[in-house]
Amino acid sequence: MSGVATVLVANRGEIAVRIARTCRELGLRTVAVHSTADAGSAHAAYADEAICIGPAPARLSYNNIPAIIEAARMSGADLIHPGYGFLSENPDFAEVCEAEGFGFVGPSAAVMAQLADKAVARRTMGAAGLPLLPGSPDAVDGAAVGLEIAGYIGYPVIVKAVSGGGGRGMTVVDGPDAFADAYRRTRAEAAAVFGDDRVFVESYVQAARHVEVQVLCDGYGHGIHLGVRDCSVQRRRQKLVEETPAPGLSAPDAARLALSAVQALTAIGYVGAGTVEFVLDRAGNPSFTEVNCRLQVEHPVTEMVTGVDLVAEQLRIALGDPLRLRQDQIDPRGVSIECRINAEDPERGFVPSPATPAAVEFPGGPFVRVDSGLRAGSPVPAEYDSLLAKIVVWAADRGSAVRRMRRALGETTIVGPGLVTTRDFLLQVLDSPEFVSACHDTSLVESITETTAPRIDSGRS
Amino acid sequence: MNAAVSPATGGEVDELLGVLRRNVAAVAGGPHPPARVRMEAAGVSLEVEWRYAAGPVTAPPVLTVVPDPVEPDPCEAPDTPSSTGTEHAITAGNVGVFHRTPEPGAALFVVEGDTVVVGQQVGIIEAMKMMIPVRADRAGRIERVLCETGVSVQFGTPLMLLDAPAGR
Repeated sequence: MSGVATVLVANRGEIAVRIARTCRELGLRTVAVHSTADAGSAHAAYADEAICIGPAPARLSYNNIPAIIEAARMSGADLIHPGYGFLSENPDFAEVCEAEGFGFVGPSAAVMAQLADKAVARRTMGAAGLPLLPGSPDAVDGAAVGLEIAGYIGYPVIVKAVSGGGGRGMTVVDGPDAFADAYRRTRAEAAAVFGDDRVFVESYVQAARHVEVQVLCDGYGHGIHLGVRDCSVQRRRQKLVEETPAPGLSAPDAARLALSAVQALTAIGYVGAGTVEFVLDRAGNPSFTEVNCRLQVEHPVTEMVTGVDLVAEQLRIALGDPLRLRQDQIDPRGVSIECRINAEDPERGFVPSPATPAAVEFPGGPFVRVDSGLRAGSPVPAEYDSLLAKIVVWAADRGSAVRRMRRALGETTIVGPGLVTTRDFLLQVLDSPEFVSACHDTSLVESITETTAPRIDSGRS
Repeated sequence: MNAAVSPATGGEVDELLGVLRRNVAAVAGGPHPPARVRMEAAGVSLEVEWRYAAGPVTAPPVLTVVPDPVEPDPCEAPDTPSSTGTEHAITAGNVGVFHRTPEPGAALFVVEGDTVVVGQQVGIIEAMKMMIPVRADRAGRIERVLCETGVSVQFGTPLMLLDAPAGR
């Protein structure tokens, strides 16, 4: 890395702190942007410079492209790191950054736009060799055409918005009678939520597991993978617990999948850190679902087993350096698990509970990492997502990692009036026989909620 | 010259005219006195025209106000600020570079001592080549200008202090 560069982190919370920490280790100057709601936040305090870019609503601050560009200009930033969420996968933002002379930490706007269109992503990744579920090659024009395709694929099928994401704009259809209605409803929802009513049809598999491959590509056509993560402990597509390696895949299968992901991303000229997501069916067969053009929330588990700082590699790539690591230098060791502690109430359907923590205590000891933007006495704004802290552990084997995580969560205290967290729920997950034996699937959270909910309901009534 | 009074209440008009009068006097007493001045605040405007053209001001201009609720005398205590007001800051509504003139070399939008009405433009913030007007969100007198042209401002940075009439 040449000279002293300035990095503006266009994000907030734990990820903004995490990125700034690596910048500091690399000797880079950091600039935080924040809304008025985050004036006293950890990420604003940690950075070398903090700039208030707008009021609390994200569209006026963290999603406000002109404000962020002005802050970058004002602070003399060389690079803009978007973190995850907010503008991280917005091709327009990537394009504006480059046009205004700032290096965007992520892939080019063109590649990002290509992957944001799910029909195009599916076609491109299929052509690049990734396993696909049977489905329509393009957006489906008309219910009649869709019905014909669905009949050819075989039910159940899923109707998905081309511009979809976040679990919205998709409907599972069990048989031909329900197709036309589902098709119309999904298009209407897609138009309302994403401003794009195009949909495509794909075979639907009851996902047993969600796995994803971490990839790093430089600007010179080289790419490596850093193993496979399992993110099957989800609630409504929101991940709660992640781990690596993926227990549902044999080592040779995982290596094959990871290699195909690297080849697919390098084939389309991807630059930076990216994640290729797959579902596994009950037999363990993978199918491509999407590419995430950014750093993932759960990236620390990969860092723990590989010893690679993904943010440092992202920054080096963005500054134009070639990859320093070859695939044979990536040698994952042991098992890492991450638990997300959210300000949500599991007993009330995970409703967010923004409040001010009066006391915050994080775990310590061997092989425990905490990524958080939380400070005692600093309010958790209701405007943003509910992630309070990520507790990450490493151990030589999975059983030890689960025990270490129980210990670490037990040492964690986040309390305050009106503040409810998912800590206790996460401990229930860690205690469930399915999780302990790694035979759980994506229905685990639901089954735990179901078994505990009646008891809680009767206790409250 | 005349003072146009829009449907404001008598007491308010008196007070505003007093403020306007003092400000007109301040302008007239400057090194480059204008031939004509019009000031407006909260629907009350005061327009003054001097019958002599160029040349130094050696004597105070003669003012008559129509209707004439106060005895106009621009020489009396123009330095006494209205003590009935409250201090209010006009803040930056976006991140960018602050400008006090519509374009380089042009006249300032406002100077200290000017009275402004709600919605009156007092500056520009330039963000990504867009010129975003800064407007007074309260009526009052510009007490102090806090940011000069070329200064980078954040969202919420105070730009000017206003002595705003109480209750407005």
